[in-house]
Amino acid sequence: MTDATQTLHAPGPTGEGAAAPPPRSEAEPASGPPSHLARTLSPKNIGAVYVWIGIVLLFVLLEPDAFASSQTAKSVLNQYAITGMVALALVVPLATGVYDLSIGFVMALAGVLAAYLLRETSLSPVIVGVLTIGACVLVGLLNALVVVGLRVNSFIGTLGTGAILAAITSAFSKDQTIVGRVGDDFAKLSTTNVSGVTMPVIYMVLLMIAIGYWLERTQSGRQLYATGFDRETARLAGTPVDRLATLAFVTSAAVAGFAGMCLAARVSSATPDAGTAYLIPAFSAAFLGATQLRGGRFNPWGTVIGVLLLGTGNVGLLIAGGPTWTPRLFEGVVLIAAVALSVSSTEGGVRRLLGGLRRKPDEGPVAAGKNG
Amino acid sequence: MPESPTTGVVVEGISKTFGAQRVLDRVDVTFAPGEVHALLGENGSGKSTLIKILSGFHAPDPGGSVTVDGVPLDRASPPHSLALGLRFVHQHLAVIPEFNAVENMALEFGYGRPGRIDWKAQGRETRALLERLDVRMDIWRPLSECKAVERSAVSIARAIATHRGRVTTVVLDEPTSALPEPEVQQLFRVIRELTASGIGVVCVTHRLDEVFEIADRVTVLRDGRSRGTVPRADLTRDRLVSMIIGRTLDDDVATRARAVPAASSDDALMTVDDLGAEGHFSGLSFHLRKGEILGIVGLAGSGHEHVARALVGGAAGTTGTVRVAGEAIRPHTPGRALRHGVVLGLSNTQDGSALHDFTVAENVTLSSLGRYRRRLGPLRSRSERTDALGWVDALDVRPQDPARSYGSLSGGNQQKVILGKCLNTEPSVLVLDDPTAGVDVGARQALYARIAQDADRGLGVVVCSNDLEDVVSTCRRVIVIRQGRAVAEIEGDLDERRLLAIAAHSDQESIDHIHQEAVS
Repeated sequence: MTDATQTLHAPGPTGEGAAAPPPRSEAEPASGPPSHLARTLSPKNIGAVYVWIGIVLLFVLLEPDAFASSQTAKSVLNQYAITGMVALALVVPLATGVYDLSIGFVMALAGVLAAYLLRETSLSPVIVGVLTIGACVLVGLLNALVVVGLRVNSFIGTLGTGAILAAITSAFSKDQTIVGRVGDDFAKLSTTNVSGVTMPVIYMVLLMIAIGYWLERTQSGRQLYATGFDRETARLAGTPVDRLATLAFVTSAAVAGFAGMCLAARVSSATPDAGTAYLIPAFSAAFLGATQLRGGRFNPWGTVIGVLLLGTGNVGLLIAGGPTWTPRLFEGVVLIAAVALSVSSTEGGVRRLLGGLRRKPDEGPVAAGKNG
Repeated sequence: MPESPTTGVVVEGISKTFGAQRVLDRVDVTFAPGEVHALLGENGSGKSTLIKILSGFHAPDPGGSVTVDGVPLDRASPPHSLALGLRFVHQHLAVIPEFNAVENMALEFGYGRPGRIDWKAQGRETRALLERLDVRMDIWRPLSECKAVERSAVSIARAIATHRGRVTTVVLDEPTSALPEPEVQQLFRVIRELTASGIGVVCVTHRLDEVFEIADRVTVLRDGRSRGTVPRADLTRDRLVSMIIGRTLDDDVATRARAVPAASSDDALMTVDDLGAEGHFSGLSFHLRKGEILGIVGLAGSGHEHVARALVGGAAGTTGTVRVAGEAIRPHTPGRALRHGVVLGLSNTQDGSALHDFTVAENVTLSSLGRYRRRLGPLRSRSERTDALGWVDALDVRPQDPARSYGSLSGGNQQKVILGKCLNTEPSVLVLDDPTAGVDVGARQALYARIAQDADRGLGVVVCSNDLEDVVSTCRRVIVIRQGRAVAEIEGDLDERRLLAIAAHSDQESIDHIHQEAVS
C-alpha cells in the first residue's frame, strides 16, 4: 500500500513519488465517471435498443391482435436463434480484424455432413456431432492456412475457401436434400423445447455469454481485440497475432458448423445451399452489434440485440402481411445502416476492418509542430 | 503594390501558434526566383509548419504576410497557393509505382477531354516536361522499375506542369532522402535545370554537404525562429552546425549530468551481434551494460530508424543475434524478446506504437497481460486498473483517467502511456525509438528523468533517435549510423556538433578520419 499511495499523489516522474517501483498494490482506483447511467442509456450506446422498441411499438399498433403475443416473441427467438449463433460465430474473427465469409458454407457443409453420416452409417448422433464439429475445425484451420499462412486477404481468402466448401458439400449431397435418420434422435438437438422456447435459443444465450466472457475477461480475448484494432501494434507488443487469428477462424468455423447442425436438426433434413441465407443477416447483426454498448468493438451482447432487432422486424413484417422478400430487404438495409453508423462514429474496429481507416492521432499542436 | 512582380516568395513576420505552443515566431525569409534555397533545422524547428503555411494547409497567426511576386497569400487554401504558382514535392513523391511516367503525369493534370484517353498526346506532353528538366527516361515503363531519381524527376515534372498556371517556386521536401548516392548528382542536375528556367527552388534537407553543393542561400530555423539567411559563400560547416543546434560546446558539457554507471564492460546485459534489417542497415554489434543508456543516432533515412524494431525482432528481414544475459532470443520475435525482458517503445507518431481504440489502461497492460491472468482464465481487472492508474499518476498522464481512450490524448501524454506500457512489463532492457518526437519540452524532460531513474536501478536502455540534443543530454555512449552502417562509437565527451558532423558526412575518407578520432 505504501508505495502506490505515495505514487498516487506524486506530482510527476521528476518528483519523489516517481522513484517508487512500479505500483502494484491494491489502491482504490478513482471513482468512475459521474454520468455512468446516462452514458449507458444514451442512444449512442444502445441506439439499436430504441429502434427495436420502436419496431415493437409500431407492429403492436399496426397488428394489435396478431403481433402483441408471447407467441410472437417465441417465434422471433426460435426462428432467429440460429441466425444469432452464426452472427456470434462471426463476432470472433471480426473482432480479430479478419472476415470469415465461409461461415454460410460451413453451415451447409456441417448439416449435409451430419445427415450424410447418419444416413450412411449407424454411428450414434453424438458421435456424428463430434465428427462434424471436428471437420469444421479442419475448415477453420484451412481458412487460417490461406489467410494467416499464405497471407491472402481474408475477404478474398474465405470467399475462396467458401467456394471449395460448397463444392465438397455438393459432392456429399449430390445436390439433393438429405433426409433419413437426421429426423430421428438427432433432431432433438433443436426441437427439444422448454415451454415453447427451443434449444437453439439456449445455445445462443450460452454462446453469447461464453464469447462475451472470452473476449472481455480473458487475456486472449483482449489480445484478439488488440490484433483486430492494429495488428502491427499487437505484434510489436508481443501478442501472438498469427496464433490468435487461427484460433478465431477455428472458433467461427466450429460455431457455424454447430449452427448448421442445429438447422439440419430443426428441419429434419440437410440441403446443400442451406447456409447461404444466413450470411447477410449474420453480418448485419454483427456490424450493428459493433455500434452498440462497446463503442465500436464487435461484441456478442450488441450482436444479439442486432439479431433481435432483425428478427422482430422480419416477423412483424410477415405478420403485417408483407411479401416474403421483405426480410431480405430489411436485412440489407440494416447492414448498410449499421456500417454507415459505425463509419461515422468516432471509434471502432469496424472502421479498421473496412479499409484500414484507423483513426489517426489528433492533429494536435505538438504533432503538427514537431514534424520538422 | 510595394513589390515588383518578380520578388519571389516573401515571408514577413509569420508566426504560428498551436494551443499554447508557438511553433513559428515572426519568421522573415525571402525565396528569390531562380535560386536554390536550402531550409534547414532540427526536427521540430518549424520547417514543416512553414511549408504547410505556404501550401495553404495552415493559416498563420494574424500579423504577418506572405506574398508571391507581390500577390498576397492571404487565405489558407491549397488551390490559392497553387494559383500563386507554388508547387510542392513531398518526400514520398506521391507517385503510383505500378503506373508509368505518363500515367502518373496524367493523374495530376487530368486526361484531357472526356472519353477515350489520347495516350499519344499524353506521352508527348510527358516527354516535353521531362525534357525541360533534361531527363531522358523510358516514359512507358512502370516507375517501380525505374531508377529512384527518375521517380523523383516525374514527381518534379508533374509539379511544374503549367496546367494550373505559371510556376514560381517549387518546394522539395527531403528530395535526396530516398536516393542512392550516385543518383543524387542527377537530381541536382534536374534542380539546376529548374532554376535555370527562373523557377525558385526551396530545398528542405538534413544533409549538410548537399547544402554546400547545391544551395545558393541557406536559411536555418531553430525553435520556430529564423536564425538568419546566409549566402553559401559565407558559410562554413562549423557555422552552419552551430546555427542549427544553437549552442556552443560549453553549453553541451553543462547539460550532461548523469553519472557514469558503475559497471565494467564484462557484465554485458545485452549482446548484439551483426544485427541488420534488410534494406535498411546491417552489421550492427554492441554490448549494453546494466544501467547504461546507449544512444543510436543517425540522420533521417540513415537506417537507424529500424534498429529499435530489429532489436526485438520486429523489423521485416531482421538478421543477426541478440543475447540477453547470455541467452539468445530465438526465434527472434517481439513476443520472445519480451520473455527475455527486452521491450520496445516506439514514438507515438509511428504506426505500431499503441492502440488508438484501446483505453489508456488497456494499452498500459497490453504487453504484460499474462501477469493479470487468474488460473482459470479471467483477468484480474481490479489489479489491472490499479497498475494502470499507478502509471498514469507516476508518469503524470493527463487527464488522469485510465479508462479514457488512448487516441484522445495529446502526443506527449501518449508517449507517457507507451513508456508506462514498457515499464509495466518490468523489463531488463528498454528499447526506445525516437521517444520524444511530437513531445513538448516539459514532457520530454520528464520522460528522460524517468528513464534515467530506472537506469540507475539497473535497467539497460537503448535510445534510437535523430534528436541529437536529447541523446547528448541522456547518453554517455553513442553509436552513429550512416547509410546503414555503424560509422562511429563514441563514449564519454559527446557533443552535438561532432555527432552531427559524423552523421552528416558523406566523404568516405573523412569518415574514416572521424572514426579514428572517435575510437581513439
